[in-house]
Formats: sequence, C-alpha cells, structure tokens
Amino acid sequence: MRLTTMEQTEFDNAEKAAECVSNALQHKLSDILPSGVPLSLLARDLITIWVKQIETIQPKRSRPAHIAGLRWVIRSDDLKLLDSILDGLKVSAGAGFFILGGLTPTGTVVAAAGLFASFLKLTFNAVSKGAVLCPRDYSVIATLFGQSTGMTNQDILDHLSNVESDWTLTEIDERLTKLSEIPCQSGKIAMVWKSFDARWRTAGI
Amino acid sequence: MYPRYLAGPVSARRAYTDPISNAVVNTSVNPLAIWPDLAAGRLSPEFLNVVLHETTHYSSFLSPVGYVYGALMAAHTADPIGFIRDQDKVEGPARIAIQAEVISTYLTPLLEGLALFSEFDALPGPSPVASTVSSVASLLFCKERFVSLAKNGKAYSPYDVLKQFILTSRTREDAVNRKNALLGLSLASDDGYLLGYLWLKALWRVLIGRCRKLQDTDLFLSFVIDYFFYDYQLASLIFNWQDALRSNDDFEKYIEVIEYYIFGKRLEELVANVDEYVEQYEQYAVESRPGKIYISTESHIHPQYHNFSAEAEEEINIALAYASMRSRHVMWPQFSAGRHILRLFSTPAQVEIGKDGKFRANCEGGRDHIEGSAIELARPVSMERVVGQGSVEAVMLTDEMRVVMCVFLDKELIATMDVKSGKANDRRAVTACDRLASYLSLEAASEKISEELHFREGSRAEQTFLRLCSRAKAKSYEYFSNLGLGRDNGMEQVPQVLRVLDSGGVIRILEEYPGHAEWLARLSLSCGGRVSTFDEAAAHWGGSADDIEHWLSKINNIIGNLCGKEAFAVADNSFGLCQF
Repeated sequence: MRLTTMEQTEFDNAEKAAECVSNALQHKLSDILPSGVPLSLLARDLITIWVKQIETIQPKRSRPAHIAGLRWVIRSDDLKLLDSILDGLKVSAGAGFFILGGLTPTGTVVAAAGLFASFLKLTFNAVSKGAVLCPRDYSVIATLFGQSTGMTNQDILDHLSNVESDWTLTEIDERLTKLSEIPCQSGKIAMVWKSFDARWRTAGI
Repeated sequence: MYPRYLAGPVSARRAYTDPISNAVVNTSVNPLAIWPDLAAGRLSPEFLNVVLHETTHYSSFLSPVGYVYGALMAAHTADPIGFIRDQDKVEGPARIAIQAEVISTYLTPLLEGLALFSEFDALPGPSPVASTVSSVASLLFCKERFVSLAKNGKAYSPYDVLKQFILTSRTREDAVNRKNALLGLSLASDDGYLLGYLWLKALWRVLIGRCRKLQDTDLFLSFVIDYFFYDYQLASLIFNWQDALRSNDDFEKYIEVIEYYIFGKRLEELVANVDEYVEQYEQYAVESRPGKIYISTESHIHPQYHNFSAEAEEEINIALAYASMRSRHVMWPQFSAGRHILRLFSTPAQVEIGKDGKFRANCEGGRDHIEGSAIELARPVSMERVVGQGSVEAVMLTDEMRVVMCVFLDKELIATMDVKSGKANDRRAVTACDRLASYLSLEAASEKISEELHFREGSRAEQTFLRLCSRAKAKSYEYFSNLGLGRDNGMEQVPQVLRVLDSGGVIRILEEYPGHAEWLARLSLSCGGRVSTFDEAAAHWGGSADDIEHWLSKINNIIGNLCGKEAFAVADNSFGLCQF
C-alpha cells in the first residue's frame, strides 16, 4: 500500500484494498446490512469499483503477459461518496423497512452480500457521474434491484406501500421516469429501464 | 544505439514474451529486491499468475513450431532490399511477412488459451510427467516449504506441495479479479485471450471423455503443448525456407491448407487417438527431466503425432539459419541464441565497469545495487572505465533448474551470480548465458523488425496482406468459437449470444444478474482443474454450503438458458468441469 497523494491510497493487493474499504464503512454498514452478512464479503465485491490495470508497454508483435497486473486506487472522496449513499439508504430504509425488497425471504447470506454490493456499485457509478438521488429514489431502486423478471408500477407501489403508506402511483411514475434519464456530467444515464412488457428493471450503467 | 527503438521509456513497466527471442520480459518487480526469496524458493503468490502464464509461452515457443514461428517473424528482415522489391510480386520476403501475420492470427488463441489454462486450471496430478511450467513454479515458489517438510520427515513430493500452494493462491482475491477481467474481455478481441481460453476448456472436456488420464490438468497442459508445438509437419508448413527465397504457389491455397491442417486434420486426429497419443507422450516425456531442452533424436523415439523425420528437422534448421541471418550482424543481438533460457524478472540499471575490472549496477536510482567482478572478456580492451545503460535480470537455466542473476551493459553480458551460492561468473552459467542479450536490446531489435514490416500503399503486397489477415481473423474466430462456445447439444452457438460475448465477454451476459459474474469467477477458480465441494468453497468464500449450491444453481440456469452450456457440473455436494 502507498499513499500516492493526500487524497488517494494505492494498493497492489486486493486483500488490503478490501480491508481498507471494510474499515472505512464498518460503522455505516452495520445498521443496514442483513444480519450475518460478513463485511469482508461485501468489501471484496465492492473493490472492483476501484480496480485499475497497471499500464505496461510492449513491442508490437510480442505476446502480452497474462491478464494485466491490477492495482486499486481508492480516493478518500470515493469513500465519502459511498458514505453519503449509505446515509441516503438509511433514510430510505425507514422504520422496519429493509432496502432490498424481497431479499430476506429468498436470498441467503452470501447472495445478500453480492446483491447489496451490486446495488451499491450501481448507485455509486451513477452518483459519481453527477446523478443526484434522494432517499425516496433509493427506495424505488432498492425495490427493483435483483428482480430479474422486473416489476410493474403497481407491483412497486404495492411493495413500498407495505412499509410507508404515503406512496402513490403518480409518485412512482415520476420517480421511474426520472431514474430512467438522470441528468449527469456526461449527458443522461438510466438507472432503470422499461422493457416491452411494461415491466421495470434496474440497468447497468 | 538501442534505446531509441524501444517500445516506450526505459523505466516503463514491461510484461510480455517476445516470440522471436523467446525472452520473457517482466519488470513488475526488481529481481534484486526479491533476491532472498529467489534463492530460498519462496516467491510471493502475487507472482504466481505471471510466472505460470509466461512460462507456458516460453515452453510453447521452445519447440519446433515455436522456433519456426520465431524465425518466420524475423525472416523478412534477412533481405530488406528483397522485401522492398517484392511488394508487387509477393513471392519472396513480402510473402513471408504476410504469412507470419496470418499464422500469428491462427496461433494466438491457442497460445493464450494454454497460458490462461495454466494460470487458472492446471494442477499437478498423478501422472509421472511434470510440465516445465509446474517444475519451474515448484522450484520458485515451494522449494523452501518442501525442504522444510522433508526435514521433518513428511513424505510429500514437491508437486504435492506445489498443488497445495496453487490451490491456496488461485483463490486469492487478486486471482479472482484476474479471472473476472478475463471473463469480461471481448470474444472477438485481437489478443485471443477469451476465445482461446474457452476453446481450450472445451477441448479438455472433450478429451477427458476419451482419456481419463487427462483429468490430470498438468498432464493435459504439457501434452497439448507437445501435440501442437512439437509437430514437425506443422513446423514445415508454417515456414519452408525455400518459400523465403521465392514461391509461386497460390497463396490463398496455402492458407487453406494451413487452416485445414490445424483446425481439421490435426484436431480430428487428436480426438480420435487421444488415448494412444497420451500413452506415447508419457513414455516419451519421462525419459528426460522436466526443463530438458534438447532431447537427442538418436536415443528417443518420437511419438507418432510428432511427425518427426530427419528431413523435417533439417528443414527447421535451415529455416532458422535463414531467418537469423540478420542477427549475425555485429550490431544486432543474437536473438535466437538464448531462446532456451527462461527469464524471470528484469530491471533496467546504470552499469559501470571500473579500471580494476569491478562492476557496479545501480537499479531504481541506486536504491538497489549489485557489484562484483566483471567477466574478463567483457572488460574494455583499453582497460578504461565504462558506464552505460544496462539491465539486471534473474534467469533460470532450465537444464540445471537453477536461478542466476545476469548483469548486462548495453547488450552484452558482463557478469553472472548464482542467487543461492552468490558465486560470481561460474563457468557453466557464463557459458550458458554467454550469448544472451539484455532485454532492452532484444526489445529494440523486435521493434526494428516490426518497423520494417511496412507495405507500400496500394501495392499488391498491401492488398494481399489486408485481405488475408481479415480472412484469417474471421476463420480463426469461427474455428475457435465453434468448439469453445458450441452448445452442449452439439449445435453451434446462436449469433445473438456471440454478439453479446463480442461486446463484453461472459460478464456482459451476466450483467443483469447481480453478483453472478463475481461468483462465476470465484467458483470456477475453486474447481480449477479438479472437483471441489460445497463445504470447501463455503469455508473459503464465506457463507454456507447452501449459499454455494444456490449460486451454482442460479449461474447454471442463466448460462444454460442463454448459451445452452452447463457452466458447472454439479453432483453430490460437489462441482467441477467449469466451462468458463
């Protein structure tokens, strides 16, 4: 590990990078994660956000050496950003509402860590590109997340209303429209998309 | 003279294998910084992937096909004037240059598939044959551990120790990230990584159905290298020295013959006779130590599939002699001379030889250095002090299986030092490394050779080059993907799936399924080259055996539905035979 500037730390080893992420987010994650999910699993999934290939040069007709060397460059700003996403999630979670709808009944512990990490990565990518999300946006994305068959607007409303009664179909419509074309620095990105069967799914960004 | 031809700044990181000189260039660590580990045989697992991968390339290139392939790459430079004059006829040096590019397109996925299989799947097994790759890895990573166990009366073989070491290292997070990176590469990428890897895994699955011995993945690796790269007939097809002078044969026809030979005849014969060939290979291979570089043809009977004949061997020697003509010039390093020596780690250095004949090599701004007596013949005749750019390189003399530190000034070797005994300039090491050239000078030569590969715009050579390279790329993709991505029911893969794989590999297919790509990488490594159990995987990755079963089932369902391929074979709380 080496501190390359005042604001970023560079790791040449995945284990050490995961340890750094795990330490940085421990206090926040303990409130949000389903019980029993090991932090180390989550951190291992999350560090792919910061993985970079080590740049090498080679003569034109040589064979490049194996899959490039990797390093992890974690900016302190990135950890702060992740921290703020977790804050948003906490608020969206509300009293007794678990952010990943449908996860607890069907998912197992390791699956939960994987899903939660993917959810965080999706959100992190959007927010780091300039998207501005509020806690109720998080609630919508979290509800859709991991639902591979998608959900209709009514499904989402039914799900959210079980926890907070003030949701309406109009708000769901508006938020889904917003999330499908979020303004950001590089134009617009979609966190959710609607398939031909009128069901919504989360999108890769 | 050399640095101006380098691919980049002297200090930039390099990681490649040059097919002409067979030099592995890996500057990711300064060899002086890991000297004690090299001497003890306890290198850190972080170097395992790169050593396995590059040693596989090294052993593939150290073969009749490898030698001829290297010669073919350099052959057009033997007659630079002829190359220019041949641009409109395409029957001599220009033809040879095009041939090199086409052959390279066909061999690249095979070369990379083998190297990646070595990284992610090969494990020493019960066969009496140990591959050069596992022999080298055993010496570099596990020697200390093996000696310690032996001293305590534990009866393990070095390869048992290596197997355990690989199993632990292969499931480190770094390895998972590498596997993830591989699965995220485009299938159509020029590097041939994913295409070759999936092809080799599919080939393994086909062959173990006919030859149970190949469940030993280290045997599979060394056998496949031997089968494809020790084929004298393929070697003579790739480069016939007479073609280098003049050939009026139909070029298109020639390319078709090569395609049929590699992907048709050779592959069909392998599948039909694999049981018999593996027997022949084992008998042949156990007659010499791993790492042996020259096997006398008088005392050995070649396996039938080598297609060996004295005439074929002679042809190869002539091809090499023709192609290395240029390298005999005093200004060029003898890039064919040290092909049998395995370079491990290199670093640039400022090297000085004093008036007293002592040398000092400073690496990384003087933070590490090595000093001692220079070889007598390397000292300037005038006895004056000389200073210049050079390098320090840890190399393995594979015929002795020992590691030696070599110091170069410009392109010349000026000293050797045994990493274990510290003995300087011992006769055997100096004799073995005498004609080695610094990796910097080899890179310069390689760059120069590539620069000379230039076709005049609008010439017949340029048109032929573009047409045949484009065809080779399409055919290579077709042949490799037919087996590598074929559906389990024997049908070809559907074009839509191939298009997705072309855009972002297997990862793109799983993009909409959170966590699946990570778990595919993890579980494929858990069962790399063997069968693993739910409990074992759960203990390593966290969670329960049910979690592992859950992920295996989800991944199999999704990949099965989309690609028609079973990602993992699962039975009785165990899983293996991963196709990705």
